[in-house]
Amino acid sequence: MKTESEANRAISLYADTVRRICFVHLKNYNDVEDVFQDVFLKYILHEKKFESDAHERAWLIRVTINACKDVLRNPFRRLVCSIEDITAEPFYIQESEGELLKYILSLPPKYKDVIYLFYYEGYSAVEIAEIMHKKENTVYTWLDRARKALKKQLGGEPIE
Amino acid sequence: MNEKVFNIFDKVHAEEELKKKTADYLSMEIRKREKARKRKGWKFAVAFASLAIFLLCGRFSYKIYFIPSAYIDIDVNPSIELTLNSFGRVIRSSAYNGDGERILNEVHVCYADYNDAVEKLLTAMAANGYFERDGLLSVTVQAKETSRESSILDHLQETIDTCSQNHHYHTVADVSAVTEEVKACANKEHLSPAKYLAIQDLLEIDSSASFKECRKHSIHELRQLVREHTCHHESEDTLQEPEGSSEDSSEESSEDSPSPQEYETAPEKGCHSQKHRRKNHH
Repeated sequence: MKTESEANRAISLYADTVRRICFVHLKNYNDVEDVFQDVFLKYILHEKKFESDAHERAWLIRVTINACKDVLRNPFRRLVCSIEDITAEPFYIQESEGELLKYILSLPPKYKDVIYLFYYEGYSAVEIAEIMHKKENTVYTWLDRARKALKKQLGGEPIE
Repeated sequence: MNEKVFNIFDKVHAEEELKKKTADYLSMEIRKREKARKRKGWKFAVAFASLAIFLLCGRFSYKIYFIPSAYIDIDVNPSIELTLNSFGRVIRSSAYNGDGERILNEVHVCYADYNDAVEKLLTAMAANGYFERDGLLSVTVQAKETSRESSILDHLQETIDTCSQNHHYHTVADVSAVTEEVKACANKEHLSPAKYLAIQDLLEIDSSASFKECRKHSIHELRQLVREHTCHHESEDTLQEPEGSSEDSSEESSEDSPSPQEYETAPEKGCHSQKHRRKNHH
């Protein structure tokens, strides 16, 4: 089991990453809180040593995605739809971005993950395949389909 | 577009309140689990110590259980030795001869109470007709404590009497205690103490007899020989005529030859048991 200082270090380094993945998947702030705490609890209980910071980060991303899926599978969770309810403090989105965000969040979960990991975290398809335990070609397919879906929603604007 | 996607996500940050709440929660969890781990350690230590004590006691009890405390030797013609522990349980049984082995194969007496064991053995001997053939049952007891010896003798007498009544056999029963030295000498010769003493008695009277020849006889036969020789000497003494008696008998004094009262003389028939303590014979 990790120490308190290690837990605090992990929170300072990876809190935003975990929060964003929760943002992509969850609509309810209580669920976000639960998943956030669960992920870091699992982190401190994880006995094996990480090979590197990158390995540690990838591990946390994987655990967060799985935790979000578990919450979504739970039939007793509350369903709240408003985007403003997702964050405790509303963040300001430009009008054009608001529509894009809406379309991204409406994608199937696996497409949302690859869009986030590819366009924000900067992972390659190979790295995303490793994180998500999928084949590289599968990731390429998902990316392609996600882009096409967004393009269709945005009225033909390309996403590279 | 790529930039737009990036900017959208870049605006999302973990709230400070969320981070603080999570840090506090993790701190509490770490402390809770540390305490639980220490308690678990104590539990293991206590369990381990209890197991160690249990095993030691078990080992100790095992040792005590199997320490010989007394010996019962039964000789009819089947000649059997029972080793008892301090709880009165048979911890070992062995036979001095083939007939004894046969009886022990039929009857399992290990870990039984000695009274039950003797009853089973006598019943088996009666069933096999040994009492009809030989007619003398010799039972000797040797224990470290005299009080224990007496107690065993009393109980054995009762058991033998009850057994003979229940199974309707008639035999002369001689129940007595022997010393540790006699038991040791008898064991050396692989004989029951009663037979060993009977041979010694015969050798004292009949110098022509040899130990090797004597051991071939049953205890009943040995006693008969002793009686015959004793009667022969008595009749010689009464006549007061040296009738071509052997050199040995003339040299023997009355002090040396054992008097009839030293033996347990039994009535002709019926179950009769006597108890006395043997002198040390070599």
